[in-house]
Amino acid sequence: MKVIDAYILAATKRKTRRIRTGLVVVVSSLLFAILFFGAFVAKGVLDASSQVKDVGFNGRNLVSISATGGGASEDFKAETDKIHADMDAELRAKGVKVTDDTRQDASYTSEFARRMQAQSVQQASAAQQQLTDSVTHLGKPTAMYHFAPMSLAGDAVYQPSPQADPYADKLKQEQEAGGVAPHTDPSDQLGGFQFYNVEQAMLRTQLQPGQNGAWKPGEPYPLFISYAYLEKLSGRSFAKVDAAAHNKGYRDLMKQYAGKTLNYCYRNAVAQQQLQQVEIYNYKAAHDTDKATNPVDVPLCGGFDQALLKKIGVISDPDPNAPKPLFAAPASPAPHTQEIAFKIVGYVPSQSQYSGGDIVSRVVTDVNQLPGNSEMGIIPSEVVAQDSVLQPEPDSFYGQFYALFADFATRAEEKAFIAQGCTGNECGSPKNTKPYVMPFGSISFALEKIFHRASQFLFIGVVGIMAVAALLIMFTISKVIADSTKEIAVFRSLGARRRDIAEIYYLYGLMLAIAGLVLALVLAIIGAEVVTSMYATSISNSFVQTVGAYNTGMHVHLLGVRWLWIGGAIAALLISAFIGITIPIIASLRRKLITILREE
Amino acid sequence: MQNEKLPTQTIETILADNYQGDTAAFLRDLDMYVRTRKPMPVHKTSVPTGPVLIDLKNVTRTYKLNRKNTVTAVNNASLSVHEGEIVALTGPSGSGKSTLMHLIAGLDRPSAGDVVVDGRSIGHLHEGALATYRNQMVGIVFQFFYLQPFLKVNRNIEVPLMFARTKRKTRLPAIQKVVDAVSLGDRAAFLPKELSGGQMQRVAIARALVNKPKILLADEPTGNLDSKNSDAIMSLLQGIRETLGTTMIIVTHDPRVAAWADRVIRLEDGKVIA
Ligand SMILES: Nc1ncnc2c1ncn2[C@@H]1O[C@H](COP(=O)(O)OP(=O)(O)OP(=O)(O)O)[C@@H](O)[C@H]1O
Ligand SMILES: [Mg+2]
Repeated sequence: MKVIDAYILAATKRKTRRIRTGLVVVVSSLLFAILFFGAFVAKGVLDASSQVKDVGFNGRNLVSISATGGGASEDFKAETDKIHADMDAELRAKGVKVTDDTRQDASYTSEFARRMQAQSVQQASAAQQQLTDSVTHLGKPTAMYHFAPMSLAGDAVYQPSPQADPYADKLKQEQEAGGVAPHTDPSDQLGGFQFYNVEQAMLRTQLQPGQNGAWKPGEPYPLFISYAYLEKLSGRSFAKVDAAAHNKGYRDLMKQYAGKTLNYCYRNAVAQQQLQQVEIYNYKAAHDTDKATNPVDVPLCGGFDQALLKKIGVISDPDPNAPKPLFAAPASPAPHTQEIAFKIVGYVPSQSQYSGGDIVSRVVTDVNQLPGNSEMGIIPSEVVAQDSVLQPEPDSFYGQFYALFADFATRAEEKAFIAQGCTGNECGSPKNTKPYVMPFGSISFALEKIFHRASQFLFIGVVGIMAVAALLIMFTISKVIADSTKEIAVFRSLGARRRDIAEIYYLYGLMLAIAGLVLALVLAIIGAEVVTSMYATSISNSFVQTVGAYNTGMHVHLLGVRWLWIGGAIAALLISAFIGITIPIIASLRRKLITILREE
Repeated sequence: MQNEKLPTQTIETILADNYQGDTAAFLRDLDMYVRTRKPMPVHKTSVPTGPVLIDLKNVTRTYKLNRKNTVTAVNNASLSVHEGEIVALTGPSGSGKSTLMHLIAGLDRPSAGDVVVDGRSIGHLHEGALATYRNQMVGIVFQFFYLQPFLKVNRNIEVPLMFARTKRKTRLPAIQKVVDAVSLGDRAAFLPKELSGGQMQRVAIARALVNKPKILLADEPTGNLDSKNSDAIMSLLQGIRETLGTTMIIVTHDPRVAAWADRVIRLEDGKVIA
């Protein structure tokens, strides 16, 4: 029969059991819409990420490598017992009687803590050596980078204003408020500045035009600061503006601050401690009624008169009559305070200090392991090695790298290297010797990987949704056709051949399937557009923060088409409709025409 | 209204011509006539002279009920129907009238014997040829009409044309012709549910006729209609036979309906007895 005639007859079926059929079409298309929606959004994010593929670290073939298992002490109790035994033996050798009370002695416990620390540092460095060794087995990166925190943390205070006493404001506020307890732990107010170091080559893409990471003694240290710190320095926030303005804002600030010198005050640990003591003394002196105690002048960036500090009791000479401690504490160095200067030569993308992570940055958390806090700066490790002020203190964790990066010439080599790392549960296994390798700074790489992993997990879910939707469609169609047995018999009595019958009902099934498909696509597109209007800005912002400010405009549209998914869903729909039609048609064609006609 | 057309024949003639001597049936109708003042149907037209179109040769149809029992619905029936003839199939319930009609319609196949229509043995056609036979050679009118509820009258009538793959252009005049024949011109755009029983039956007749079949088969076409509508349908069928020369076999219980036929064939227990 003619297609148009088949359509006329099929179309009338739509009017029978309208509500039930409509409901099933809506429900199953909702399920398919979820699939399409997921595919659109996922591909949309991927497409967006590919628009910034040549920005900063994102244009490199970098991986981050971390150790899995090992390194940490296997038997903590055995280790502490060993240290205790050693210390006890040393005391006995000196003729000291060791009792249970001995271990309560203050000098004993601090010595114990020093030895534990030293041991941990040793273990950490052994673990890192092991990690470096294991990497050389896996492949040949063109370069390896060691990312490490530095000992300046908390010690160097930026001085943008001539205000000498960082506590003066706080003090005034508290006095006005009626006075509260003095600062017993002023370090949280001091804040300080986290420094890290890594090889220059790691940072080469982060250099501003016209700047370089070279340094000679007497010059300001070259410094790469985080985007968050840039916001803080400038007093600007882009949290409330759209993505384009956000991106442009960063680019403008980066240009404006490149080459600027920042002055810091460096104090070693002893000088830092003296400053804190003076703050506390000044606070008390300002509060009490004793005319004899007066606040001490706090110089902008300088040491105190040690005699004065002794006079007011902030420091004291060791008591010559005091009993000799069981373990002598290492001599503390002289207080040292010095002005240091940095020159901003580049920037490292980081989370804004003002906005929380959005979906994309949460998804790509793994991408950037560089610390993203607002106090962050990176000094090239080549500079650190040349300068005594920046040297880590002995037995300090500082100076131990905690992230290892590898650079590759090509994406293929990078991929091959990543494949050598451990995956999933394997990484957690105690027997595992492979490191955990992640693409670094490469959002689309990371997204691809995450989507690949997610789609494996989602596979069962997706198949489940498809199966439910397919069964729903199959059962409705077959029910509707089973209800049409009489109608089929009447058509046949009017001269319809089997082929005519098949054409009518396959067309009907196809109409249902297409209606469901169109509805599903419309819902998914609406959903994707809604999500785009809600998240496009924040996703674009998160690209600025995790990848860096880009020079081109970026268009985030969460409506990427994944033909594989859509094709799969369409195939599932059509196959289920086909089965749902074929079974009842065959069943009704196999029955004797006359038997059906006689039923009433 | 039709009082002036009241019969003037004697009771003997009526009894002989219209009731084949069946006094009980005559008295039943007479009783109804007296009570309803409806005219007695007397509509004999010409006696058919055409060649034999339908020829049943010792046709038997048995149905298996289960392993042991079978039912013989039609038992060694032989009969011939001439082209242009209107034949009424009567008989008590279960006598095999419908079965016989279905055999002629090509909806069922005989267990033994041969159904020959227009020189072709219907019982031995394959499915495809049988579909064409049902589409082209016969028109079937069911007691319950079996119209498509969501198709308008003219679309319902078009269905057999669809299966015939008739060209669009020639459909319209064909439909127009049968719609006019059943006087439903003003109802062409109605849905079946908007029609009366008699109108629905006329749509079913128009649909059966639209492919210009040589044979019209009707199973109790007036079973659901009152006597006024029954008469209207029967007079319509007679008019169609006159204009189109269609051969008709009408299964009926109703002697009033049978009275419109040229010939009445009576079945009893699957056997042709008159
Ligand atoms: N498919 C079938 N299976 C078994 N028996 C059947 C079948 N079809 C018909 N019969 C039997 O065949 C006999 C004839 O049936 P048929 O319907 O032809 O009678 P009928 O004369 O049309 O009766 P009615 O006037 O009540 O319609 C009946 O006894 C019936 O039970
Ligand atoms: Mg019957």
